[in-house]
Amino acid sequence: MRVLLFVAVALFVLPATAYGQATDTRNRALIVLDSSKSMNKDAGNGGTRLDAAKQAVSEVVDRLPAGAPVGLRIYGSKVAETSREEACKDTELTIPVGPLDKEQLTGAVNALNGKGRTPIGNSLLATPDDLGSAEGRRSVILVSDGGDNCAPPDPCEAAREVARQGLELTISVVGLQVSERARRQLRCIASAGGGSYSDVQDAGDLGDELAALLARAYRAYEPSGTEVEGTTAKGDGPNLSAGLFQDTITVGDQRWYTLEVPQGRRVLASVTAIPPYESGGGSTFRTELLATDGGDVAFEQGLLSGGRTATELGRVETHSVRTSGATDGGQYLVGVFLDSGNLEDVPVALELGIQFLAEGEEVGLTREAGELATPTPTPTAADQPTQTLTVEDDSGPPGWLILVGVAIAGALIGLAAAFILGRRAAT
Amino acid sequence: MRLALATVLALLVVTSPAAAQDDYEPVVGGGSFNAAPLMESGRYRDTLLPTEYLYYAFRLEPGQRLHVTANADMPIQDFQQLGLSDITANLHSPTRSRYISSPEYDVRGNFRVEGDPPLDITGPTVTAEEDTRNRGPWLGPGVAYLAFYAIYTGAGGDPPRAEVPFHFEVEIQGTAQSTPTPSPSPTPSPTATATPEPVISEEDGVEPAVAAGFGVGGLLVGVIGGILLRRRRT
Repeated sequence: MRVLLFVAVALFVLPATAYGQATDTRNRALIVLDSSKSMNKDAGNGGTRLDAAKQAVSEVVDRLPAGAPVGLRIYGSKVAETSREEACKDTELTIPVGPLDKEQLTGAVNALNGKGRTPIGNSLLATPDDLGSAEGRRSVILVSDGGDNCAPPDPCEAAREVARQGLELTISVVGLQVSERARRQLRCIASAGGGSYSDVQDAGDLGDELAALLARAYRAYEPSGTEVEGTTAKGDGPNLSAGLFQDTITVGDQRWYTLEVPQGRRVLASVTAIPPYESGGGSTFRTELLATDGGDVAFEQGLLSGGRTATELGRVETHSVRTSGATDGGQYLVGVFLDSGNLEDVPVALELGIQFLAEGEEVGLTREAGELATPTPTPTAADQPTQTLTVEDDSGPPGWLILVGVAIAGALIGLAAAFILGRRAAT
Repeated sequence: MRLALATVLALLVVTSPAAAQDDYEPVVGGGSFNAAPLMESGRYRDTLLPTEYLYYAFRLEPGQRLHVTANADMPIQDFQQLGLSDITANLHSPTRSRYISSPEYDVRGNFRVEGDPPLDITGPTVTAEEDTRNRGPWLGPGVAYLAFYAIYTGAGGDPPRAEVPFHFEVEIQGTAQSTPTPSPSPTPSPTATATPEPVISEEDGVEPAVAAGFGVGGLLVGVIGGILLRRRRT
């Protein structure tokens, strides 16, 4: 019976689809959380504002990428607001920035009691040291239900000072049920800190906002795919199967790749060139597809501009070359050229998407619609072959066994029902 | 009367930013095509940095097209102080090539902040006709992309690392004419990449309807069997 129950339950519990977001775990985030006395105020839903923060943090930790570097600074939790001088020093790095430890983070937040004042300025001034100077973006996420009441230092000026210390640090602010006056100050902090400001009214919104801010903190801007090295000689290039690949090219150079195309498939190659954001100038970028006999199949070209010179067309250029229909199969070549021009001589990232389309097969990514602004753990960049999972993998018995189980369960229930009804009728 | 008016105005001032913000769902665009979250029609907000890209993906069936409006949420002085001239938006086809504007539709545009004209672009209606072209955008069904890029025109130096908040609304217009056959081997696809979500293949799974059919069938067999057994006994 237990087995049948399992089978029945398994039928209705479909595997959840995880949605990916490129994650760069060189990036670090620091949550600066308000635990001042005002956080004990009723949030309007039966709990306090601090309860809302606790709930939001406990929900968010499950949405963070595994190993994401995160820290927690808390102010106003230890010294009662009556002692102004001491209360304004009450800011502490409770969890140093390091790989996410969900229990530690939720435990620290759940243990909080709203107690003291709101030393935002002093807290912000401590954040550059909290986040360190290692490579990667650094994000401060301040959650507060009010403005600073310890100035000096002025919190907005403190944010400016922090932002001046490094180009890779931003301060974003979430205002929890704040007054207009506090909102003005918190907006000023976000603006001076190069971050964003948002208002929230309850735990659900706070959770969504925190999740989005943290996802942005870890957002990667780098191309992805299996790393390959195209050759300058036609025909000697690495043999690419279907999938995504990444390479680099420099001005005046070319890259060749070989495709072994199965018979009856249509070849489609999408090539995206991504110059560094800090580059300038522009050069002609060209992509060619050659057939088995070396004849031209298709080519595209356009101007590739660096980040400092790009205009409406941006600094990313994508070409899509393909056969006009199914092929007889064989060897095809993809050539990528970055002509001499005035694009600065820096490596330009290439992202190649290769497809061998069967009849009726859909172009491009195949994804199901899913949750928004949900950061999930993602595999590391290189050498990741297809991530196609099958439902049968570790998730239960095969389909035919499930059907037999369901049929048997139905028959047993039917038999039992017939007997019970029969007995009742007899009595 | 003046006091009442002042109170009403004050309330409007206090509540309007939050109310406007509430209308837009926070999302996090991907830094590349491959990291683009797959989304549906809706009102969204996000932030982007000068010179960086954000991508969002939308599935389009034949008969459907994308309509996008957008604007940034910061004072124009701050926007320009960052060295930004505009935020540009482009619509990309499933092959990642940009769609090309035509007299019927405009697939590229710019926007700045409230007060300036908002972005208002529309993609081509996806066709069910077979693609026979050998380059350029793909006009058939698939996952199309919306890309935002903040144009930096600041003098010298690296662009500042400051988040630019913006909001946008995407409407998938038109009725899907037909559902394309799912690919037999889910796109050779995105795969080999660092970011895409795992694609769940249900080729060996059980359709709930089939399972239900078996269940009901089993139930009927059980009932009939029970009745027959009962009759034999009596």
